[in-house]
Amino acid sequence: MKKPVLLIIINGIIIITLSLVQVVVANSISTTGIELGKMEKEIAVYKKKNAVLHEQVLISSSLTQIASKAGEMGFEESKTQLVVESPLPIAKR
Amino acid sequence: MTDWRYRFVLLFFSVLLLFVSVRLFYWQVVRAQELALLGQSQYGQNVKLLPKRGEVRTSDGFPLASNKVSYLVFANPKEILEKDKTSRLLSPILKKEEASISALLDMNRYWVALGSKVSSVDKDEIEKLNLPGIGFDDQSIRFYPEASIGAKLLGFVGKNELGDDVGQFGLEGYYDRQLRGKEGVAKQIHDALGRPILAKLNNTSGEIDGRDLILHVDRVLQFILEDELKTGVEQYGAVGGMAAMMDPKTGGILAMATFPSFDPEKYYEHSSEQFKNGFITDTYEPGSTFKPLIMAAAINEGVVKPDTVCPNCSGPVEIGGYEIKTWNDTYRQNLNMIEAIQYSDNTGMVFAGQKLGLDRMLEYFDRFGLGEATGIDLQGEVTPTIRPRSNWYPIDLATASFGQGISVTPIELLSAFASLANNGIRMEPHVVASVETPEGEVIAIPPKVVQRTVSEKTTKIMTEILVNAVEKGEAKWAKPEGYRIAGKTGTAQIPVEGHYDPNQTIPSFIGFAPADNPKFVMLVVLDRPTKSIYGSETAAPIFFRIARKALTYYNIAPTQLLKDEE
Repeated sequence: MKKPVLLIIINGIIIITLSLVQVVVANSISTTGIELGKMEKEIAVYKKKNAVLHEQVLISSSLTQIASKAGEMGFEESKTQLVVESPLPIAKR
Repeated sequence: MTDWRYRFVLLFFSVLLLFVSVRLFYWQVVRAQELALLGQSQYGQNVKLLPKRGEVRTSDGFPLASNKVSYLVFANPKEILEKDKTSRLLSPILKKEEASISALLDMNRYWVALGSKVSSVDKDEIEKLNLPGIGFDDQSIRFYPEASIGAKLLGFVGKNELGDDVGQFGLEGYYDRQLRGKEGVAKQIHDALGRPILAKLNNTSGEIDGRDLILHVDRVLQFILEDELKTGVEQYGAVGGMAAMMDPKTGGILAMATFPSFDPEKYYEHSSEQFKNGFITDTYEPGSTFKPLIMAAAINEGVVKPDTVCPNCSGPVEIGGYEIKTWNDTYRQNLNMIEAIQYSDNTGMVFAGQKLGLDRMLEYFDRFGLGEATGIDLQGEVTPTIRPRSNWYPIDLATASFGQGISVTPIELLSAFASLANNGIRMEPHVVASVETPEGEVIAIPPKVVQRTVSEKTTKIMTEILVNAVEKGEAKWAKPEGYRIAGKTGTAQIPVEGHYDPNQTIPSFIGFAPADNPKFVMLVVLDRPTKSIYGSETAAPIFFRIARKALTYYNIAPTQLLKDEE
């Protein structure tokens, strides 16, 4: 009976081919762990740089820092107020 | 004959199969877990994931408390050959004695910690030295961009017995569980050389970053309040001072400060006494700042009106063998209730208190929330008790009418007084407005109505009485021009061993502005100033300086005609 024999041969070829593909793919990605490690390290470095810059931004924009810098630059507290508004109605004058 | 051979071989292989099955069962079921763990330890590594602690941010989103990157510097003493050189090079960077670093490097261990919370700059400097056997572990430490601004409000992050971070005092303590987050575990699969394998995905489980707190606190108002309070404490030679500003409509705390304060980043350099927020922990006899509450109660009950004349205020009042005098020993015939507040007349207040009666007075104490916790969301609130009715004598009723012989915390008084600025509705004070999850969901904390203290009509009357007290009272010289501010001075005596100290006081000022639509209610309390003992000369000027700046910040124009325009 030829049909079953042909089927077995075709299945066998498929199995062997897929096994070979699996071996090739697994082999090629097994060393990409090195790349993964490098990328993770790079991400960690950027995250840390971000955190350090974030810290510097917060310190620079703190009111404590701004008030101190303003004082050094000669800014003084305003003692008077200027109010601009429309004239009062006659009844209130 | 062949039968027995066949059966023998069959039996042999059956026994062999049984033996193999039993052995497989043993290794794959009985010892399964142990072998799995052994395998994981060989090819996988469990990494503890520390969650990021949540930030504490003011109403404009600026963090008062955040996190920054730092490092733990460790050494493997077995790998260090030149211990003296290593100690000498590390000493100035780690700011430690050479001898103490050397002692650590002499230990017979594979791992010793040389320094913690080392900054990125110092870490880079150490790395450049290329010292063998020195390594770094990431740490995250609490960081306060505004330095000690709001320190007593925030609290700090310390360590528990296990060395884990734990929030203590203030918001860090009260909301520690929300801020802390949850530790997780990540599994990293690696090859024989320790490199990660892409084919196996890393599994993470359980790690949840802490939630952020968004406060009612306004960063600008907090800065103004702290700055003026600090200036005032120094100017008047006080031992300390405290102040807080609240939105009377919501109970939201807009600013709060206590001096002396501490640096939350270096909390370990301060004694534990300095961590307490006096505004919620210190009790004191409030003195004349208490009078508006008694007067409001008496007017609300209808036992007095603003123009009711006190029949016996032309001299000291005698009660139970005690003589009650005014603060300046000045007496006025035909003193009415408006003037009793304006001149801060103790005899007038005794009259109002007696008309109110003890039972009703105690009922109003309850309405105003005195003798119970305000419920403010800060760790460490203290609640002084009101003595039971059976322990009250006529002299106690009289002294309580002008705020002596009764103890309150500043937050209790502020919360009670704020109801007069909110049409008679007392709100629960709250520092946190909302909580933000790591996913960005914002959970608002709605304002909470506690109860009605007095009628809206009474609050209108009291507002005018308090505005009059500011315009014509002892502190009128310090009031900013053009604004209607309602308020009351206080100069409370300090009880010392059965009598009152004649030389030291707790001066204070309480008020709200603008009087007709209050944006804030504020209480300023000084502790034993030396330049003057009176509230009108110490706490009142501080209050008005802060109020003027706050009104300008809120872009609220003066409503009264200024002198030039008259």
